[in-house]
Amino acid sequence: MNRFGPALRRTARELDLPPPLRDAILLELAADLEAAYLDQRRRGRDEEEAARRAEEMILGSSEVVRRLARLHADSWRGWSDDVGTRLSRGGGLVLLAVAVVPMLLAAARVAISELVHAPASPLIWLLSAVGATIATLVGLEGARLVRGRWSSGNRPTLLLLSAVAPALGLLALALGLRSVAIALASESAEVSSVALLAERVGRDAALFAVGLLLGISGALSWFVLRSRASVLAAREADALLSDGSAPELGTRSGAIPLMRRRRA
Amino acid sequence: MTQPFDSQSLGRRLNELLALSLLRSGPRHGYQVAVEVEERSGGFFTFRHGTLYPILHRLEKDGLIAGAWSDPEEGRARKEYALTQAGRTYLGEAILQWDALVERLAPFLSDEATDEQVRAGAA
Repeated sequence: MNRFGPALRRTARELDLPPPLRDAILLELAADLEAAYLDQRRRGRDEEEAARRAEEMILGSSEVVRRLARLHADSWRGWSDDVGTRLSRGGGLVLLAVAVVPMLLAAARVAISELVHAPASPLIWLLSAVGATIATLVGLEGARLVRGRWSSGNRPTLLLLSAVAPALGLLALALGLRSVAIALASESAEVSSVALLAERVGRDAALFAVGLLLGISGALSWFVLRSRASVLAAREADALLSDGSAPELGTRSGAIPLMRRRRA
Repeated sequence: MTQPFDSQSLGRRLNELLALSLLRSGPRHGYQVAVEVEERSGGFFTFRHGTLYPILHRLEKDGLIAGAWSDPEEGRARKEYALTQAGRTYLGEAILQWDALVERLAPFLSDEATDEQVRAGAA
């Protein structure tokens, strides 16, 4: 049984916040309580005294807890995490499979086609690298979450790349249109070259579409992964607050380990 | 001309200064901040009863520090705080303000007649 369970339950009751925000605060306090307890034990105190001192240092009076709650009360993140958590429980992984993977595959198909057939724009290389990185990060973060590691790893980078991809696509389109406009304005423009220029515009538009697809899929992935992390954090927080009468968590289908085992 | 000092926020700003200056040398989690403040001040400054966490969370909300969850191989993930660039700038200004505070306070504390009364009372 969690030795700090009763104290954490008291704190949880006073933290009047949406569950994801409340859980994040409780997990932080729980981790620091354990650190404080172990530190006090190292200083020679017995278990009871070490636990008392840890609670005295880390856990606050009702006024302090209310102050903490007021600080986060207007946070938009609580709302978005709450929505995200519901979405994740309902079918975030389905969304990944049905929407994100096909978008990534479509983007890859266009990019590979461009690379194979003499790229119209050098930006295709950069866009391909961004796309490959997005796909890799989605895979890595997904694997981390399956192992129960909900703490943020590369999710901020994933979000950043999701913004970069459409920007690159737009840049490729803009540069391509500029080249076409210059070519058309030249006095030696012929009918056949106009056809070639039109094809060029089409290919640049395809690059823009690739950038857009990568951006949308990256952003959706970020949202789903973050929501899934919130669900895992919520389970860990629930375990902290459990009074020991609830069944052992982690035995549900998909047995996600909630805590890494300490070395003996 | 130096801005007038808001004495009502003295306690809050002292706590901010302690936390921010400690984070200057590297990221730490909440308990580490509390322990190091106490140890480095010889017990003069202490954070008890969870009073540190509203301070850290407000600093994070203001963008002066950034919290990130660690990813240990074993044990719980822990939230560590690191000073941001905005935090470094704010800390630099806060240190200057504290220097000005000490300088402006000195004339009030070094009155000779008062010193003798204090000594007589302490004897």
